[in-house]
Order: sequence, then structure tokens, then C-alpha cells
Amino acid sequence: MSLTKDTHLPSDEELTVPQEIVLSTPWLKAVAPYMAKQCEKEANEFMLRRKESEDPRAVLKEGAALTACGVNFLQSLKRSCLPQTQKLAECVDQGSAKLYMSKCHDDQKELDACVEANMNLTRPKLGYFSKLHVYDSATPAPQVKQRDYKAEAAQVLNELPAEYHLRKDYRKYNDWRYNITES
Amino acid sequence: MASGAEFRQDMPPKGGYRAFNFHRTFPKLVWSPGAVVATIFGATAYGCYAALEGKKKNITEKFEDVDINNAMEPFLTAERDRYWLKLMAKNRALEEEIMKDVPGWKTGTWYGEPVYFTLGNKWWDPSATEVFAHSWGNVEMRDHLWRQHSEYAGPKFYDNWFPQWMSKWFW
Repeated sequence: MSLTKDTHLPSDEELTVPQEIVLSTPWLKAVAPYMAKQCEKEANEFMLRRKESEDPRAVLKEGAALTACGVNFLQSLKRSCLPQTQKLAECVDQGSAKLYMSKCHDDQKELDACVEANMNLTRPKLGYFSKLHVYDSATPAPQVKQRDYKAEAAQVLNELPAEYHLRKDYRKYNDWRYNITES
Repeated sequence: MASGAEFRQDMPPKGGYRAFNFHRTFPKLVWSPGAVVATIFGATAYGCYAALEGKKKNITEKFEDVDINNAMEPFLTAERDRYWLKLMAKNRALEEEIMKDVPGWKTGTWYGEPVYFTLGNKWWDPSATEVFAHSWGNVEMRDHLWRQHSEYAGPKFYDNWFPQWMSKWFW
């Protein structure tokens, strides 16, 4: 594997959260829009930082905060709207082979009403999570360190002796062809 | 024996035969041409409308699902990252353990020659082959290429015909 001893990998404590979200797909589909709306700030922070840093190790704290927020929401949902959620999840499970929500809009409206009444949370309109959202993080974006390859190559070439024999027998990568059938 | 008195000539009925219809006859006209043309155009128009509406409905149905998946994605990503990093640490520890007796071996390199030269501190996901290097051969097929499932993974009609230990070996 390409991970060396010098590669920093987080310890098991950093990688373990007290409670993961352990829901099966129909249940997760039933509650996902409310959960994502409730934890919108955490989710935005996590996804933005992850995208910017391109490094899963850098956003473990944000990820743990997001999971904790989701777990909190699910606990309060369980206290207030469990029967409606169960009905919707069972409908999603049984309604269609692809677990679509389209057969379950009646049950979904019941859950919408319950969540709105008990948790003061409105289900976002269809397409809300597919739109682009502008989010300003308090943490500044990481600096992208770009190596100046041309300068490095120029320095190497300059340090060569004057009468150094530069090879001429190379071909450009695009011209690599070993037989006539290759394009 | 027939005699002359019993002979009787067949004659036309009284008033003669009815007039013979020598004109061309047409079948009864059920629908007027205008009605037929109107029906065809109407059915076509309705078919086009129904197809477009059905297409819209299918697209909406799929889009609804995609929207829900988008809502789920941050949560799944957070969980996946933790699991993935644990797996990477486990793999590296396994390599340390396996190669500890090989002189000159440095973990994550080919006897000290690194795979990537210009990465620096940047994270780069190892390829699937590297990740599954310490697993049994069929595990990659099963877990990575998702071959443990047939198209339909629910209960089958023949589930009760075989004991559990046997039926887990076929789909």
C-alpha cells in the first residue's frame, strides 16, 4: 500500500463516535430531509471543509459533530413522531422496488405535520437539497501550495555541465504508438 | 308412371319476380370519415400528452429520490470517512506485521522507493487492489465489486424448501 509510516493516520479514539447513525435505507430515506434540514449548518461546514481540504483526516471533528447532530435529531424525532415515521418507513420499504418516495406522499404529509407541530421544522420543498447553496464558513479556506515545476526543472537544467549530453531519442507521450492498430 | 294430366309447368310467382339489384352494394357506413379522422387525431394527441406526462412523472419520481440522497450524503460521507481511515490504519499495521522479517522493506514503499513522489502532505486514496491486498481473493469480488447480490436480494419462494446452511450458498 502507498501509505508510509510518515503518513499521519488518526488514532482509533479520533475515529470513533459515541453513536453512529444505524438506520436501514427505508428509515434513512424517510427521515433524511428533516435531519439534513435540522443539521444544515453542520453538514455545510463538513462538506465545504472536506471539499476544500480534499482530505478525510482534516474534517473528522466536523464529521463527528454532524453525526452527533443527526443522532440528537433522531432521538427527539423518536420521542415525538415515532408512529408516523414508522408508517412512512414501512411504506417506503414496501411501496416500490426502488424505494421511491412517490407512493408514500400521504404518509409523508402526516409526518410533515407531526414534525412541524412538535419540532418546529418544516420539510424543505422538493429540490432544496439539489440546489446550490452559498455557505460562508468561519474557517478560512486552506492555502493551496502549488509547486513551480517549471522553475525546478529550469534550475536542474542550469546546474548541468555545459557540454552535458541531452538525449534526443524520446517521443512525446501522445506519439507513443507501438503498432499500427493503436491510435 | 307419369301421364300427361299430372304434368305441371313451374311458373313465376304472381306479380312476377322481384326486381334484381344489379347495382354495386356497399357495406353499411358505421362511422363517417370525418369521425374516423377526428378519432385518429384525437387518440394520437392524447397518446402524445400521456407519454409526455408520464415522462415528467418518472423524472419527478427519480428527482425526488435524488434529492433525498443528496440530503443523506453528508451523513453517509462522515461515517464512510471514519470507517475508511480505520481500514487504512489496519492495512498499514498488517503490512508492518507481515513484512517485519524482510530486510530493507519500508512500509508503503518498494524497498524505500515511494509510490508517489510529489504528494507531500496531500491525501491520496489507495487503489482498491491495495486496499484488498490483505483480504481473501473472493472478498474483493464480494465487497468491492458487489457480487454477493443478485439483482433481487429479497426473500425467495424457495426459501423454505432448503435449510439455512444450504440456501446461503445460492441465490
